[in-house]
Amino acid sequence: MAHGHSGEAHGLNPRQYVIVFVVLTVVTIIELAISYTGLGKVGLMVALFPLSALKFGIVVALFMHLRFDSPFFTKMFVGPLVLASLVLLALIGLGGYDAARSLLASS
Amino acid sequence: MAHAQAAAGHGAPVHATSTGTDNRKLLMWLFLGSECLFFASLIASHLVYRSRQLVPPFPFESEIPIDVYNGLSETVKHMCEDLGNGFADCHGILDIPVTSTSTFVLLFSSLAMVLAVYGAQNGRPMMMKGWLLATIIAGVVFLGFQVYEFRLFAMEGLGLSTNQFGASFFVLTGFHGTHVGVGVLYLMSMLAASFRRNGLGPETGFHIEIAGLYWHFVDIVWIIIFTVVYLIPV
Repeated sequence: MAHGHSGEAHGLNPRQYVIVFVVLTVVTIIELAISYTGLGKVGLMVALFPLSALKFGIVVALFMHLRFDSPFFTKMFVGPLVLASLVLLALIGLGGYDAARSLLASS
Repeated sequence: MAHAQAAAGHGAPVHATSTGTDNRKLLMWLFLGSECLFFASLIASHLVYRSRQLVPPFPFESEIPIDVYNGLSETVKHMCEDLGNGFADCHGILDIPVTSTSTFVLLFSSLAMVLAVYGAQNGRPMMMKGWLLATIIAGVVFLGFQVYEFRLFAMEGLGLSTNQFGASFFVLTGFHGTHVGVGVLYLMSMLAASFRRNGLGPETGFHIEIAGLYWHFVDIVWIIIFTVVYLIPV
């Protein structure tokens, strides 16, 4: 597989893309099923966040071709993504302290 | 500037760069990186604020003290039921089955987009145009679901200024919907240009791939929104 040149064909073939789509659909159905199981808030977070991250990773790596492209693009995207995750956690930590405390108390 | 090489199968010149990658593609990845920060802030704001409002509509089923229930306007009072024990039970406003359907539509649009990119990069213009059209249709259908949801919420009494959930929800999903709308216009312009005599030129595969990056990003943002906003009742 080739790397990072303009308009160059790389990635999977159509059949493999359809398989990836089926996997994404199945993971989404599993997510939905879990959301109806009546798990607590913490249980849902523990169960659903990894599945969501898995779908995110599959789309970025295979549909957006980051796995087959120049590693430089990966750095350019993952860097801000990590920063965004830290911003997300910081804002939730700053603004949601009371909510987090009540959540832990109720779980 | 020297032409480093022709892009495989398209004869398009690629200018030599210090990074060894196409600067236009790098620009799109940097833009998407900045968009991560933008949406992370909106998602964080939503998660913080949606559990803080005191008056319905609530995203998920919740109980409120009866004195709060008695003070509600008639517009939203119908959403709650007096339990007779000093509390009233209010039903959640989020419609998971409808949103799940729109999620599958957006997932399908990502498949259609990647197949359009495949067609463009492998010299199959009809495949590219067909899947590009399918992506556009799926994007419009997704927007239709969003309009339906917003209208339903408005009829239930939830507006931008009703409570903190409404404010953060409409801003977050509204900005995402705007991105989908921009993506639809972007892809429509690509499709229209592909029907010109010279099509999208010698760099067809490149142009469609860049458009595809934007479209897939819209999809991955929705993957996160769907989980944290609709499936986890924090």
